[in-house]
Amino acid sequence: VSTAVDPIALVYEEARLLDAARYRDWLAIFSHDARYWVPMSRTQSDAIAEQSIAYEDPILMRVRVERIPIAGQHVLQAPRIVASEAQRYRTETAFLYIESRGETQTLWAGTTTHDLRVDQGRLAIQQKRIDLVNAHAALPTIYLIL
Amino acid sequence: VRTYRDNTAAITALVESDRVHRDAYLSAELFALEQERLFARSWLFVGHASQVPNAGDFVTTDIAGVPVILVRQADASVRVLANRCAHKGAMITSDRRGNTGRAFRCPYHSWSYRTDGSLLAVPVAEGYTGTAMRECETGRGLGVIASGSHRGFVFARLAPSGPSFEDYFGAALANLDAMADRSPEGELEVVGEPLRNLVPANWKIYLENINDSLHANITHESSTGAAEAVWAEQPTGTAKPPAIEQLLPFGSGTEFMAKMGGRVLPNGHSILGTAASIHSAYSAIPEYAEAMTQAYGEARAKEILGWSPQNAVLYPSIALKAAPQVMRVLRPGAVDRTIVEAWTFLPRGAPRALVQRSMLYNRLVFSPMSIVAHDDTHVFETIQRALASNANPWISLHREARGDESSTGTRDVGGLDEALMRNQFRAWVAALTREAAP
Repeated sequence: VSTAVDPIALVYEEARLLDAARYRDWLAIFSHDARYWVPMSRTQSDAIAEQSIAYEDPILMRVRVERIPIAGQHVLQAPRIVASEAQRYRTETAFLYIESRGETQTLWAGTTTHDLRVDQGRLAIQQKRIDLVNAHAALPTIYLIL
Repeated sequence: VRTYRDNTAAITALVESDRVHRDAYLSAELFALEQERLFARSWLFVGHASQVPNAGDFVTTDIAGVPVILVRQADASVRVLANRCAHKGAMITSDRRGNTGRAFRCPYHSWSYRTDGSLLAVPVAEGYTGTAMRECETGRGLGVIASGSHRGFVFARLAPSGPSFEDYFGAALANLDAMADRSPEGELEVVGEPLRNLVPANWKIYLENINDSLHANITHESSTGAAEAVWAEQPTGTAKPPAIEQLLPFGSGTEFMAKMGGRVLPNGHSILGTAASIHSAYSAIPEYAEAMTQAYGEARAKEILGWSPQNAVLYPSIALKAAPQVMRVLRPGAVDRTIVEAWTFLPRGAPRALVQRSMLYNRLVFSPMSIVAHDDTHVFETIQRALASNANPWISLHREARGDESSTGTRDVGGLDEALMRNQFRAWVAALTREAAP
């Protein structure tokens, strides 16, 4: 099924592009007004009024991918469509993300919420929200992209 | 191994006038001595009064490995208590914040304490009649830790004796004024929870870097380079986003850094950027400038807003940035592990846009996902690892180390002078060679 119309396929494709380090292609599946958001708690409803671990627009996402030197692997549990209306979907996906740097491998876990909408005839990511299970803890550096 | 505990000469020999021995960053024994002799007898940041506005409000944290509670009293004062039940030593609360009402109650056996720390009630009270429980430490309740505060910033000294709050900080307290005066009402408020980072390096490597102006445009070349490249691609006429405005100055050249000026203060405190800093050129927020002028008059408002050092360090626990209105708190956990918190302040009476700028700065620069912090953390890790090499046991702090610096007074220096780091080590060696704490 085409990622241009199928929300589940797009969520898988997003992780594949990251793990393949195809960052330009990754950026291209986000809408022009997209947000990449890692909140500090699961109950957080506002990315600005409350502090976030990351909250980035396409310009900052570009800056991030410009300088990434290392490898990561996403393992997704089957994404679930939790809401849909005309041309819009929300999916939730449990994930493990393994980041490798030098001799060290770091494991992250959480749930990703994708807000997807049809933009110029194809599905695009409007917001990717990542809730880490340990978002409350003092965290070591997350080098790549959850 | 007890190389240093009973040998002050060996500790003194670690710090020369212009270089430091690697053991300062590697020795677990020295880390334990730092906890006892430096941190326990210094005034360490605990929290801010705005976090506990009402009687019974509390926040918890660890200082120098000791769990403590900052709690608001019925008479509106604040106290710092040991978070340790007088009975068996369980922590009275594991919550990061809350309101305890009139009393704390231990989750283990229900011993309860008034908010001033005194023992309120014990279960099976008759079991203690005729015992010595009330006459010893147990009967005194939760330990009350010496605390002092300035402009809402609350500090504590774990050791029962040591320098007074005022003597320890002296003129360095003006750096807290510089933060609070940026509020048209003269008051700050903590915004939410701090971002918390686990840094795999000795706390001094992190703290020295706070005073290291030279590294910025070298270590952060890739992140500022990426920001420059992306910014250059934007169509002409695009308004400069605040994030780009905050990232690009990290590329400021060595000449700029040399001119920004530094100041060493007694007891390891310092200011980097007395003349200017990479935060000096943030665009004005007209509504804020107006509120400041109304509150302070034009001249004073200009003076307050014109003072924007790179970092003011209240040794050994905090570093403040007045212009983006943020603070880092260092909470050393082990010789090679440090928790670094990034706090945001709302200047009361200032527009929301100013707070958003502060929060943005912390996300961009002091978050576990910060691309700027990535650069630093990578270097810190390599230092911690490579210092193990026998090839050269010394760290160089020679830059502009000419002449005698042994006087402990205030002194203005150039922006690239490593004097600020040498000053920290003078305070460090003085603390570690004092008699063991009581």
